[in-house]
Amino acid sequence: MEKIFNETERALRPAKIPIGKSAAEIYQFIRNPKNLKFFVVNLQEVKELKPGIWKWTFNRNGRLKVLQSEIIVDRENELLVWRTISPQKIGDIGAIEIRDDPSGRGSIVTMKLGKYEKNPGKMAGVVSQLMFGGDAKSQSFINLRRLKSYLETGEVPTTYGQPSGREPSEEMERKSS
Amino acid sequence: MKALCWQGKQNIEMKHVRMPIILNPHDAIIKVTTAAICGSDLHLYDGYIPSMQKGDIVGHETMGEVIEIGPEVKKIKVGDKVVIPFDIACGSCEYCKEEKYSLCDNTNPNSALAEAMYDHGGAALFGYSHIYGGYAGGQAEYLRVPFIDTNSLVVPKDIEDEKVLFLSDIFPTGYMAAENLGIKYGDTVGVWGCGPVGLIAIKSAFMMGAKKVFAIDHFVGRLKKAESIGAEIINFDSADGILDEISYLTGGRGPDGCIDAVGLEAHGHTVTAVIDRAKAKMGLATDRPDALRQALQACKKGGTVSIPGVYGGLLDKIPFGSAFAKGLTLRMGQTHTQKYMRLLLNRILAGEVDPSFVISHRIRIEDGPQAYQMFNERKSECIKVVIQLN
Repeated sequence: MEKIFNETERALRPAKIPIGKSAAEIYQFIRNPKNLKFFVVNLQEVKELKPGIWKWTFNRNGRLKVLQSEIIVDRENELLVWRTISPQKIGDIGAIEIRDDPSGRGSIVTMKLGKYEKNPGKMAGVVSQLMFGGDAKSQSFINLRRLKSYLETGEVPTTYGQPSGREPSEEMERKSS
Repeated sequence: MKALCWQGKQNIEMKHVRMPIILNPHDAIIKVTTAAICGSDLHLYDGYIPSMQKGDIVGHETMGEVIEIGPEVKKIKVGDKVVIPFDIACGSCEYCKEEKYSLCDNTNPNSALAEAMYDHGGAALFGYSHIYGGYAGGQAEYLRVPFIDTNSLVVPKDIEDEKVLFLSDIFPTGYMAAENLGIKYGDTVGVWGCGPVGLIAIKSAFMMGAKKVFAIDHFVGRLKKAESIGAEIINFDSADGILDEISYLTGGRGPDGCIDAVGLEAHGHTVTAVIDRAKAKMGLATDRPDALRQALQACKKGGTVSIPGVYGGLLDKIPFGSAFAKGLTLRMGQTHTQKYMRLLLNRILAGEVDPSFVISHRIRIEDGPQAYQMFNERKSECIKVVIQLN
């Protein structure tokens, strides 16, 4: 991935994953802001305010956080890089790079979150914390996994909403009512 | 609905919980008619598998009737009688396309946890801890099944549940364990562990052309069962040196292939087995691999050791020098159940095999907690417990 990130940010190692789709299919999917909510954790929606300027709304347990970003690198079927422009003090960037899988089984996708080289700032990984509550590399990995699942199967695996013995039992509920 | 829930080490409770619902478009809901308790459920029961949470519904050997399907389900229909494999596969990733379903990339929502433990995560499993996805299990009146088109086998409505239930796990598991040996006609095979998987592996080895199968255990009831299906039994409690015994019985050569159908909770009286128990009690070891050590040491030069037995952590004092010097092949892993289900159903329908011979107990779900205790404490008489529901 080209030199966009501040190289002193050693913790911001990229996450990589193979996806069984062509680079073109993957690029077309992520280039459409409406698709990002299908795989990015806690992302409620992304709207394009004007070409290249996106408004991201995150919903974490009912708490909404809004960011605005601009696309600073857009190479078709290869690389997409966003830089946050609002709130201005954050200045974090995110990047997705797509390469052909040398084994011929689709593509290798790399995701990285980090600090913009020309705007080092103080808050490393703030975007990650703000949006996901976790470190950048782990969240990149989780989001790539979800992207892979959505593209390969049409859904993201979940157990959210399944029953368990941790909830009040039906019997208890009947008794209490 | 009623469901068996893990409530801590050696504590299973039957609780009343919510019905499952469709969560993803390829899901289905089944009304469970019959389920089973597996030997590997006892690893959960005994607290050996990390990441269990109180209230988790357990169970991964399940069958029933489809009562609801999601909008993207194409093959399965409401009313179908289905057996559900224990591993959950997507059917679309590179591993599923190669029929390596238990290595599926796309069904574990906690794959980051699995990667942290095991370097790479595979398929999720029903009712088998949050490392394996945290999916609610099938020892319950109803079950949500993701990717039902991939994770089900439709069976004839008039066939008894007990004849096909074990297509969910132990029949494909024992069969794959034997297949992994590459058995040639006339081979000799050693099987450690005469639980249900071991018994099925013995049966499968004979089906594949083995002439002689040694069955090693110390639970008398299980050894009798192994003997009844043609194995030559060795009780390691009374054998004078298990490795010497096997060497003698194979003319000094060793078996052509060995199957470790015991896994991480091996019993035994060797020095290493005693050390294993002591270390496990002190929290210094995660697994007790004495059966594996014996299989590696007993196997002939150039042979294969097949490991269907579940292991979870880091193993100690494995005779890897012996394995290397003898040029052994090791094959292991969770079963690619979906690959074998139809093949083995056809064998059942043709009357070649009836896996229900392993059943020793039949219970209602209300008796589940006591059954777990019994299964854990009385392995000689208790081989396989089936739960009859609905």
